[in-house]
Formats: sequence, structure tokens, C-alpha cells
Amino acid sequence: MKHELYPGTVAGTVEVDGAVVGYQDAGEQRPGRPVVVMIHGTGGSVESHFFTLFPMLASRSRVVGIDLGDTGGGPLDLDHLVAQVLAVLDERCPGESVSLLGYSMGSCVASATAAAHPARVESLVLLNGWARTDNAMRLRFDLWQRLHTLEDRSHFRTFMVMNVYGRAFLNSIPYIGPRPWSQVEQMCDDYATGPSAARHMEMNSRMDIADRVVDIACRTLVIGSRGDQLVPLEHSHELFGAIAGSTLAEVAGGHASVTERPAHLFHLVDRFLREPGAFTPGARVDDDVVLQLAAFERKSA
Amino acid sequence: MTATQHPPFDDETTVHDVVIIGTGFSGLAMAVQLKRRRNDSFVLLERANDVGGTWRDNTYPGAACDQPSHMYSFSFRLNPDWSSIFSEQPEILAYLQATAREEDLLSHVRFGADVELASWDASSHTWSVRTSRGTVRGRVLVSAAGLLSEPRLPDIPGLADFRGDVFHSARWDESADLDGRRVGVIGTGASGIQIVPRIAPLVDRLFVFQRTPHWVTPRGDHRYSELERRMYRRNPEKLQELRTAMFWENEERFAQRAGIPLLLAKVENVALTLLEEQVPDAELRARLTPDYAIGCKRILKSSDYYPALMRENVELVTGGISHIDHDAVVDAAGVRHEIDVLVLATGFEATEPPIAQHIEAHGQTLAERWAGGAEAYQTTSVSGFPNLFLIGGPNTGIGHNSQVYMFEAQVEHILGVLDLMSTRGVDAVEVSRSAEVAFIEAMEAKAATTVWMTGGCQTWYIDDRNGRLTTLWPDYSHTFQEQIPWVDAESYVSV
Repeated sequence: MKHELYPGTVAGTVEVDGAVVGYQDAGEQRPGRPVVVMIHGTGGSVESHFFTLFPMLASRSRVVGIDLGDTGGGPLDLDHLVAQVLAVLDERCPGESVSLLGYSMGSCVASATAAAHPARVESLVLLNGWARTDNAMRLRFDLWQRLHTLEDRSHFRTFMVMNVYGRAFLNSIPYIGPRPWSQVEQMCDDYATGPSAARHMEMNSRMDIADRVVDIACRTLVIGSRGDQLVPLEHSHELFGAIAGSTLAEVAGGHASVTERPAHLFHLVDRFLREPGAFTPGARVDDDVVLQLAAFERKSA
Repeated sequence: MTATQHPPFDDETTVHDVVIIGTGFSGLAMAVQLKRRRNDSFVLLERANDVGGTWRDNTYPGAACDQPSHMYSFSFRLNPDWSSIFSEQPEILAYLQATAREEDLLSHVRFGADVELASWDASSHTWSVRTSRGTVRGRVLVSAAGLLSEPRLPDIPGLADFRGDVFHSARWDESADLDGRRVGVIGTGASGIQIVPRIAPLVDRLFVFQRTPHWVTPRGDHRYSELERRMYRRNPEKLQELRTAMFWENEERFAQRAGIPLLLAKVENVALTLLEEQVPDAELRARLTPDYAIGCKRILKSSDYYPALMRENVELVTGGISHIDHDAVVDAAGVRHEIDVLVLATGFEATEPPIAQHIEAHGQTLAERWAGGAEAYQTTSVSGFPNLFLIGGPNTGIGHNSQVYMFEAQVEHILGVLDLMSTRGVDAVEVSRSAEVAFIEAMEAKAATTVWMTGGCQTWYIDDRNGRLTTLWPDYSHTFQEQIPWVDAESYVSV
């Protein structure tokens, strides 16, 4: 069952070559702030990947979340997913230039969209993304696919909890202390993916948009997680290098940044949209908002 | 340490650069930063005989901060040795005492100096601060007198007639014996719910008088192992990582107060689950279930409060207090609860900080200036009051994150204004009324969507006089750090 992620959300669908694409449109359009269009990752949805980030961003500006659709049939094509994004843009924000935010696989969709349709994308946020699946990733993706086909899904679920979450998240509960093992087992039992997960993963294992991302001309915020095992931080470093107008931010935690660190992501994205001048292309975002006077002392010394 | 051990009071002809009122977290943060910038021309005025503010005054059993210690400490003095996630009062006080000592601040503190009146002298551009021990003068006055420092006593008929021991939680009477006695605790806020579980096993009978139930979420008391503390000592970057994690976890909590129903429901569910697990008795559970939106009032954290209420010798009294007589609290139903010791855990003056009555410029006290509600530019300076800065003043309270975080952003703002003054070569500046108004209007617009203004809340966060949210910062705390340190030169006029 779908929840209303933010008060007043307008939900609907568009059809693209037989695929039903969902959208959730919420928040108030504000002058000087682009609409933020959010694209989830492998086997996900707006609700499962942006449960916290979507309402956080919607409290600041208009946000459109896309639930990617699938035609079934032949192997999934990245350009088809790009077409889905464009179809939602045409439906909800015709003629507008938006800010595209993609998480994990969604970052590949967002990058490909921005590279091919610069007039529709005024800025880009790539969360835990990558440009080219390398051998190290492919080992995980291959194992993912093999475990996913087993009748006993418990191996797959354990494998994913292990890959997705960072150490700190698995080991502790804020305000409480160590996370009991029983809760980790529960997380494994509860781990679920959407119907197209296997087809997404098959596409992921042959992902290579290295020659496209270098064409991205809009300003870009690349955010990677230091403890990401599924899409290691180095891939964010590659994107940061490849995209001329990009700024890099690193957050702590694993691949599930949207679950582990939503407030940190919100802070980075909100500021990126609100105060473009604060993000210098080629620079890294500092942690001064947490370091406070410790950072101030170092700067004024 | 006592006041008499300190050197004689200041000579009135000496003009310090900065006079700071208070030696709690905020006053010490200001002083450390001046000291580290090699400015020695400052004094701290302290009415008591030790540093520590709230953490010196609140010595009640179980007193602890409900923010994790690694977050509730200075960014510039991380402490690898916190014993547990939520360290208790003696440890926090020791941290502040060590700060004062190790940062070489003690010779700057005037102990036993209660501020009677601080007045701005427009002709000499100095603040003259009359205290119970004499007068000090300074160019700049920083009020760091605390957000919640003045105990609020309940207005209950007959309180004065009570013949047993009676004291406020922040003035705990160490000499009062609780063992085997009948004790009443009035108030079930942040202090009350820490006191109750701690004293319940000691006393004969404990009556807990609740006016309004609070929402309560679980709080662990994980003690850091020797391994962890050694690791933090040797790898300070790991300590910073821990603090950073705590910071963003706290920030996530703000979204739960920003009027997002799904996130509010999530935290409400956590609170209701705790209540259900810990209070099997449906009748008692009903009396402990709030009827207002979660987040309206401070969300309390405790895993041992509800179990304490389940004890045989503890009784929760709801429905209000009618009056107090010489040996009992009489509830609204007329039942007399006989008591030997009465603890007033009734909170603090918040919307009207008492220090405002003791600061005056151009013939007007700050309290008079704030008759329509407290307000300040960048939460820190007030038009009509040159060279005055407030730490922990209006709109700096934060429910979901560390108060020390807010103080640091304000200290950075003050340092920026001091730099501006020295760049301009002037000895006095004052914020313009237009800048002040613009700041306040922008902040009110933000507050309008939060749970405090929309959730049917009745809370000390809101000023009765104007219905405005004058105590809390109505946003994430990271935006406070983004906005507050910034000094707009145009807004500060040289006088």
C-alpha cells in the first residue's frame, strides 16, 4: 500500500511504450528554486528509497518522485528509462528545466538524461552513483543475480543487508546503544525488492555510460558514501572527475545513504539548490556545518 | 573554590573588551574563543562559586542530559572519555570545570558576582555592570545567562503552608533525607522523569503529580567500553565521526516536528510501543497517553520512567492539584496525599528570561524592550542596545539537537562582529531595526508550518503575550549554523 509521503501529494501515471510510470508530485513551487525530480534505485520506489528525503525536500520546494515502470520482454534499456523520465517531465513540468536527483541506479538514469537533454535539466544530484560497472562491482552483481533466483530467498536477503548498510547502522541504534542481533535478523527477514529488481540488476551489470557523463554540462552535486560496498566511493570520485561542473560531497555510512543519513543528504541537496554559489565546481564540500568553531578556529588561525 | 580565594574586585577605571555574564556552556564557549584568539581583556561574572551553569545547579538524582554527550559538548574540545551515551551531571560539570581550568579562564572569572544592573553608557561607549561584589566595565557585554536557568515555581494555593522539606529540582536539598519517607514530585517534564526512577526505590511512598502527560521515547544507557574510549583517544577522527553521526541522526528528528504526518506517525509509534510494552495496565496507560501531537512539547527520552510508575510504592496522580496544606497535597478530587518531602520539578522561566530585567540602555530595560515578546537580530543582538550580544536568547532553543551547537554558532557571530568593529576602528555598533525586523519576519514564516504552531500545542515554546514562537529555533539546527554566524556589515551601524 502506498502512503501519502507529504500532505497534498498528487499521484498519477503516464504510459511510455507499454510501461506504466508512476509519479508523486508534492510541495510548493518556489520562485528561484527548480522542481526536484527524484529517481529511485534498483528494485526500489519513491516510497522505499525516498521515504524521508522526499518529504524533507518537499517542505522546501516542489518535488516530483518517479516510480519507474517496466515493459517486461527483452533486456531493460537505460534509454527507455530516460524516456520514462522525460515523459513525466512533459506531464508534470512541461517546458521547465528541472533538477534531477538519482539514487544508485537512478543516478545512471539521471546522468543519461542530463547528458542527452541539457535543456530539460538545470542541475543534477547523483547519490551513490556510478558511470561504469567494473569487475569488482560485477562480482557482487553476478552473485546478486544468482542468489535472487534461488527458491530460498534468505541467502539473497542476508547478502543484500550486508551489502547495503554501513557498519555503524548495523551496529548501533541512535540513543539506545548496540543494535541487538535479533534486529539485524529482522532486517534480513524484512528485506524486499520490487518486481523489476532482477531486470534492473541485469542492466546494472552491463552499465557503461562513461562516454556520456563527460558530456554533462549542468552543475552537479556528486554524493558518495565512504562505507558503500555495493557502489564504492571511488565511483563517485570518477563522476566528480568526469563532470566539469561537479562538486563532491562524502557522507559516512553504507550504500543506503537515503536510510542511514537522510538529514545529511537533505542538508547538502537543499543548500545546493538554495545557494548555488556555495558549491564550487571541482571542489569538495566541507563538513563545517558540523565542525563549527573547530573549523572556524582553523580557518582564522 | 570560594569567592574569597579570588583577587579583589575590579577597579572601576579598568575597561575590559568583553564582559560575559555566566559561566555555563555558553559563557565558557565565548571565553575560550577570546582566549584562544589571544584576547585577555575579558571577565566572566558568575553569581555562584563555581563554573558550570545548569550543570552546577541541577544536582538532583538522575540528572543527565537527554542529548548524547559526544554531541552535547564543544566542537573544539571533544572528549574521548565520556562514560556513556548520556553521561550524568557530575561528568558534564567536570567537563566544564576542566574546560575553565585547562583553557586558563579561572583568573578571568569573578565568582559570587550576581549581576544587579548592566547599563550602557552612551558617552563613554561602555557597559557598566553593577554586581553584588562591585562594578565592572567593558566595551562589549555578552549575556550568557542561560536559556533555562531560573527555576519556575508553581502557583499552587497553600504551597507556603507546607511544613515538610520543599525544594525545586534545580535547587536540590542534599540534606533532605528521602530514605523511607513519603515524597511528592510535582511535574513530569524532563527533570521529573529523571528523578522519579532514581528515588522510587529509596522512598516509602512516591506520589507523582502529572498535569499533562509527555510523549516518551526510549533512551539507552550504553556505557562506552575501555576499548571504545581508547580507540577514540588515539583516533580523534573516529570521535568526530561519531559526533557527526549523532548530529545528523538528531537532524532527522527535526523532520518529525516539521508537520510531516508520516514521519510524525513513525515517532508516535515508537512512543506508543514503549508505553504499551512497559505499562500493561490499560487504565494507567490511558492516563499516560498524551492527547496532543507528538513534538508539541519536548519529546522526553527514558526507558526507566514508566517501569518506575509500575512500582507498588509509586502512585501517579492526574487530574490536577487543588491545594497544598501543612502535610499533604490535595488533588482535584479532594484526596489528601500525605507527604514529608515535596520536590518541585516544575521547570524554568523560558519565555521571559529574568536577566532581561537587569540589562538597560537609553533608559529602557531589555525586559521593557521585549514587552511584546523577546526578539533579536540573528537571535543575538537587539536594536537600541549597542554592543550587547545574547547567547541562548530568543529563538535559540532546540528540542531535537544539542543546545551547545546553537551556542557555538552565536559565538561565531559575536566574534565576527568584534572583527567588524576592529576593521572599522570603532568601539560601538548597534544592529539596525530594519535588519532586525527582516530577520524576525523570515523566521516567523518558517515557524508557521511547524508542529508547534499547527499541532494544537500549549507549550512554553510559545509566548502567551503574542502567540509567537519566541524560544525555539523553528528549523533544522544545521540552518542555524549556516545563517547565524554570518555578519552583514550593513546591518551593524557604528554608533
